[in-house]
Order: sequence, then C-alpha cells, then structure tokens
Amino acid sequence: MDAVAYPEPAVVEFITKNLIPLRIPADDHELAVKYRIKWTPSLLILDDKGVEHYRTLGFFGPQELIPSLLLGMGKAYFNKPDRVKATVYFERIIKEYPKSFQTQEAIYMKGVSDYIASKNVANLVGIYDRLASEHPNSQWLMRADPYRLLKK
Amino acid sequence: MSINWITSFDEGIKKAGGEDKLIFLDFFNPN
Repeated sequence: MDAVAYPEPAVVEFITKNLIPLRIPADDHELAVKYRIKWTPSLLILDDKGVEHYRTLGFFGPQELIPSLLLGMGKAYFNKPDRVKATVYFERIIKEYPKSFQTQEAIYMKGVSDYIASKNVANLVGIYDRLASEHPNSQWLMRADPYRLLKK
Repeated sequence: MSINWITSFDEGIKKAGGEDKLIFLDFFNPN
C-alpha cells in the first residue's frame, strides 16, 4: 500500500478530505486483539465510537481503493442508520467508478437503501434488473435473485 | 503530498468526533 496506493495524489486527496487516517501496527497487543487482526493489510472503516462497519483484507490498488472506501463509508451510514447519506456514497461508486469491483455491491446496497427509505419494492426489482443486465456473472445478482419474484 | 497518518487510536477517535468523520484504519505489517 505504501509503494503504490498511498502515494497516489487522488488517494491522498480523497482520504485527507473525507476520512481520519489512522495507522496501527498489526502486532499491537490491545487493538489487534480487539479488532481480531489476522492479516495485513486489514483496512477498516470505523465510526467515532470505534465501531467497525467495513473491512477489507489484502492489497488494493489506487484505482480500487477509493471506491472501496466509498463503499465502507456508505455502509457505515447505512448502519447508523442514515440511508439518505448512505445512498450518496453508493451512487458515487456507480457513477464515478462504473468499472470498479465495488460497483456491483454498490448497486445492490443502493437499491436496498432506497427500498428501506421508500418501502417501494420497485427498488428491489431494480437491483435484480440492473445487475442481470449489466453484471450477469455477479455474485450480487445471485443475492438479488429473490427480488425477481417481486415483479408484477 | 502524503497522507497525514495518525498513530494514536485515542487521538483518531477524538478527531473523528470533532470533525464528524469516519475513520480509515490501516492495520499494517510492521516487519
């Protein structure tokens, strides 16, 4: 991460503007136990109480790190729960990083957020339709499969 | 231009609360 992702100017700008960057060695006796760290790098999104909302393991290139962080931020706000704010982050991934590995999950999460906010099952059906159309081999299409049964 | 990492957990928590931001925590290999 130090050699490739973190020096990238877009990554520096994104993290500086949007997050509090915290680095802890994986052999920290207290925190590595608290967060059950078994692998490096383990990249976590926490809230200001220290509650974990998202975790990835292993290297991320600069082109994937930002959408991954956006996904983690969206999930943190989803859990808060602030579904309107969460949707903003999921939409950013879909619009700004359409070819990212995170985009399929962002489509899924945005549809669920929109459904919870509106109670309109069309949002769930929309998840299935969009993933089937744009990402037919996605594991997220598998997870959205029950939503096709909601079609009228 | 580089990331201005915080290395104290308590300072990170305090700063996140003060700035109403989430924390990006990197557990890195120190070896």
